[in-house]
Amino acid sequence: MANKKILVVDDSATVRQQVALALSPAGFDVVEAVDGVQGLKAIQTNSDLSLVICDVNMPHKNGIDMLMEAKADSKNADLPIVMLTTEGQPALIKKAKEAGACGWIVKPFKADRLVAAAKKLTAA
Amino acid sequence: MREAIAEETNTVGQEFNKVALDLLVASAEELFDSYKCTISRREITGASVPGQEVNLGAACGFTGEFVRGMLAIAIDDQLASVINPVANGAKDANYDWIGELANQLLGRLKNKLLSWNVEVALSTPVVVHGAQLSIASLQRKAEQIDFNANESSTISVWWDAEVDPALELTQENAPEVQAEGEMVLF
Repeated sequence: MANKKILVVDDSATVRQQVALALSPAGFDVVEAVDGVQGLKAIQTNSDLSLVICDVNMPHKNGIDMLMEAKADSKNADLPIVMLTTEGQPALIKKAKEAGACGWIVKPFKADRLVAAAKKLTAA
Repeated sequence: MREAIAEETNTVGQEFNKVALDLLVASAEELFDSYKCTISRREITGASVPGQEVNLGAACGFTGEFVRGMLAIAIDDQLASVINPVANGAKDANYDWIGELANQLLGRLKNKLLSWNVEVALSTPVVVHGAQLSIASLQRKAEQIDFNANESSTISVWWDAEVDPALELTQENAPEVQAEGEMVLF
């Protein structure tokens, strides 16, 4: 059975590598995008994504706008998107939840918890 | 009249900066601890210590309804490599890392400021590399806080905030903020 594919969208190469280092040994394939613009493109071109992990504060297009645009496309209605960010304010979390995000993680993340969440969210 | 406004600005600014700097110290200690690096505040700032000099820095701006300014952090290459969670030996790996560290430090402080009903938005970080890095503000003296890290490293943090005298610093009815490292699935 093929590995499940996860897209990580973050303008920090360090964070993208950190997420990949956590998820790859757990059997996930990780693809990367550096901002919301590339993230949207990656969602459109990778129809086999099982999960998206997305930062909020990024240049060009932030994570909340990317989330809203992705969810506006009915093809992505069932695609789980988790926000991974330094932000923790309730108003922003509520906005993301209403836009269709399925989780919120405040950086720095714990690798074991991220893997557990990824397994839970990608279990079909 | 101008003097009265300046005095009011000064008082509110001093009160805010006192709170912000205490929260900044706590944020830095927590953040470095999460990367398995224990730091302690050095009472005399700007003093040179034996070891590496800070040569890798990053600055993040912030802006809100009542406050705006910037936070900068500088460390040495050696410490950056030690705490980099994905250090791979690449020379430029720490450039991105120091930017992310500044973002996470200011993000942590931002979340703590919410408990005082102060909300700010952050800019993306700017990274610099040089020798004997230091920050000088054109309008005010940027506050500098130094930390000792490990045995021979220094962490310098600068804080520069412009405060609107209309700011009311209170913890009443402050929102509850999701803690760092915490995960919530909806």
